[in-house]
Amino acid sequence: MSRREDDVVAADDRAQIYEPGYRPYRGVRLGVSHSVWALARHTAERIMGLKRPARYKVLPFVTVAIAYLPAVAFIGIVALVPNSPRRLADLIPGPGHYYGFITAAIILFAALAAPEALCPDKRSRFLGVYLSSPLNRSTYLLSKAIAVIGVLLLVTVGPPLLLLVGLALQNEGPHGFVDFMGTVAQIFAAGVSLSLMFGAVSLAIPSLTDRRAFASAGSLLLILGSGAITSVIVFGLGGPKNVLALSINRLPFELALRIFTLRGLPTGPQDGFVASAPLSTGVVVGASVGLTLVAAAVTWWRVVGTEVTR
Amino acid sequence: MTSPGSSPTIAVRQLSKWFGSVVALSDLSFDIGPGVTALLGPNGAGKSTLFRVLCGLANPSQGTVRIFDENPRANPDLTSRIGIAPQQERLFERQTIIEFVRLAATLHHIPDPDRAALLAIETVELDPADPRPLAAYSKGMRQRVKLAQALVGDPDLLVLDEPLEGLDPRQRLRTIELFRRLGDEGKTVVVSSHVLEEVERFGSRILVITQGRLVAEGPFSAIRDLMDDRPHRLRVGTDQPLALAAGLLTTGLVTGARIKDGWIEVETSDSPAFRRSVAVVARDCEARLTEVRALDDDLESVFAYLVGRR
Amino acid sequence: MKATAAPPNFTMATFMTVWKVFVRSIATRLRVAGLSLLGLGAVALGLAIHLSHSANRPNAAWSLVDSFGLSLLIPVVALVFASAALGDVAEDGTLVYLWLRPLPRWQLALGAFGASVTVVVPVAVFPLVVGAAISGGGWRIAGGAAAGGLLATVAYSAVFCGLGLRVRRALAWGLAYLLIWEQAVARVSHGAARASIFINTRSLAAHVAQHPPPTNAVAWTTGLIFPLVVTVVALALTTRSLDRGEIT
Repeated sequence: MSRREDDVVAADDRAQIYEPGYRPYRGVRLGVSHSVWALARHTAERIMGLKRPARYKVLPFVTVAIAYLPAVAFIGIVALVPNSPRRLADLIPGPGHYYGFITAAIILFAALAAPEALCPDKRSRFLGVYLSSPLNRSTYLLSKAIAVIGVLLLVTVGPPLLLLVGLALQNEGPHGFVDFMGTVAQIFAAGVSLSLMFGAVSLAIPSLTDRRAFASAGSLLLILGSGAITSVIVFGLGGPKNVLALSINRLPFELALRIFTLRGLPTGPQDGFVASAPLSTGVVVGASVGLTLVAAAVTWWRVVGTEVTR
Repeated sequence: MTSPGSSPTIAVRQLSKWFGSVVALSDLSFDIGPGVTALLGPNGAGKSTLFRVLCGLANPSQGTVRIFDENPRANPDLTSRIGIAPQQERLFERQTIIEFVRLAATLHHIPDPDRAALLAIETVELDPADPRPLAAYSKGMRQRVKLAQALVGDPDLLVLDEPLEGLDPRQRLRTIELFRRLGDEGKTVVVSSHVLEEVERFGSRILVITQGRLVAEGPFSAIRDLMDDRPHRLRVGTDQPLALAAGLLTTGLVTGARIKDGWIEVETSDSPAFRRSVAVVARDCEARLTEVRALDDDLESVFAYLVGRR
Repeated sequence: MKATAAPPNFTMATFMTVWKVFVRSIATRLRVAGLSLLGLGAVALGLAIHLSHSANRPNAAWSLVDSFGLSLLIPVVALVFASAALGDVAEDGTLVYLWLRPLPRWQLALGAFGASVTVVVPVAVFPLVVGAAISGGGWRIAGGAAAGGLLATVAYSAVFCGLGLRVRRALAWGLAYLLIWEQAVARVSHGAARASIFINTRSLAAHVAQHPPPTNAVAWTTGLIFPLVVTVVALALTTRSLDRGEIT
């Protein structure tokens, strides 16, 4: 980069001889924030399989596509059947209820993305290389969290936003600019909260192991298992309904519904069309914050707190 | 090589193998009969790919391979006459040596697998009673375990990929002796190597491949003689480098000489004659001779020569 | 010393040997311990139902079998073990020590499949049946858990054995299949339900348990036959892959 006086071994007016040995980099150093973003971008690319052979791209792209598919289908229905009876358009969900259609895709994406972000560094012992850069353990974890949460926004904000815009263009969405922008804000708030919660939970599991496959299976078991067990307790045994706040496959979507000021999911079987009252918003918000903090604390403890020598 | 009338153990015709746009083997044709045959080539020459095709593990992209007059991929029973030691080091890591070798014996339908396993393990000079799992074995021990499982079925054809790598010098000698003995018993032993000295000791026929192509075949010494036509570089150590270099130049056997760090590097087209006369010249110029060593007998230069000749 | 002339193609001894190798290679301590915990979850839930004195124990026991056992426990446990059976040895290159032997290839496919079933039954099916039995929901529910659980184990093991041999990262692909197809699409679409191992085995389990047919249920005979057909086809395809594919 820049040439310095002490690189020159001998010189006169016509010629210079430079030091043939090691010359350190003397260019501009961009600092920690640049490193954090660089690592976050690299991690996001890795999760999506970018700059890697095609077989690494298939699974993430298929999962993302599944999240967008219903939105495209709904927009298509509204567009292709323009003079349909109102009843058909009424069946199309708004952005708030849309998450119910892509729950599986969001959970799967979270279970695949976070292990891809954390496990290979531990397994290949590349963490040490990162730590010899301007990054320390906290900023390393920050980069990884930015990458995972950012990539999750692809499936939590993108699809409902597409649905909203698609419907609005056909005069099926919210009426008026203020309503429209309000819904956009709700989509962003709900998408960010979903990404944060699933990001936190799905980062906690891979922080415990360096095997990607185990981490994916473990995340999925935790998310779906908590749902299955709590539903047996509440729906099967008639246990206290607030136990449902512990089901990780349900809680983030409950919170999203509240952000859209919609009624939450019923807390009992819908026999005889009498839906039981949903969880109170206070319980949902409290449990969401609690779950996110616990998961973040586990990840923090494993990545920042534990001295890993190898 | 093959006695007239009888068919060769291995017959390869116009064999090519490619992976996408990478050509691993290109138009190979050769026969291999009983005795020891060494497959010589630098790393990445295609030796392991050739072995995989020979054993039926991979399909030829073009051409044919016949083992005992049969297609090795079509008939699993053919494997009862083949013993293979692949290059990769992984074994069934949780088994002990006796379990691993006995497994091979059982799968080969040997009536008394325990006895056969004991014999094979003793042949490679390991301890059949070793209670440790194979995960604890060093590289040299793993090589011998692989050899033992290849030998256990008493096969007519042994295909061994780099079997001497990682062995200490004494084990190398013993193993080479074993190969020779098996060859003398009428078995076909195919051994790959990238070390010229090893191959020389087999005293056998060799096939030289580089970049997926067959570049030389025949008895080792015959190839060596052919290669003696080329210029050789030798290093001569002496206390009187200037005088000796001048003396050597006057003999006419030397096409070039230079003094480097107190050594003389000479180039000659008649290495045996040079070796005979160098001592005489040294005596005439009252120089003490400390070393005469060929500089370019390593495989790379042999190959550079073989490939360059084409 | 020529002991190898004209070897018998199939003996029980060689098959058992192959099977044992696979059992040992998939049943690592970490996998068995971690997934047994999940299995014990079923027993704990069964105990909780038993202690609840709820009037609706049969319903609770059925939701244990349905929402926990057949939806999650058995598919995931089968995925982990079955995809490892041929997948692990293919990935680390040790498959050659089984492939390059005078055995018909279907023995390898069957050995891997059998090993998976052998491990999944005690780790997942057994605790589920125990959980259902002690829940107090009645023996029929436990019978349904046993029938549905065994059938699901067999079908998933066969499918995931082949998946492990054919794709890298089989676990991720298998999870995607379970979550998207078995648990999302098949629950919503009646047509897709017919081609889902989960819906079929659940229908059979409900029939044996004498529980009202769940959503998208198929006839119990279909529920029995479809998973068995899937098993046979999957094993045939795995054998074909071993025969024709490249072995690493």
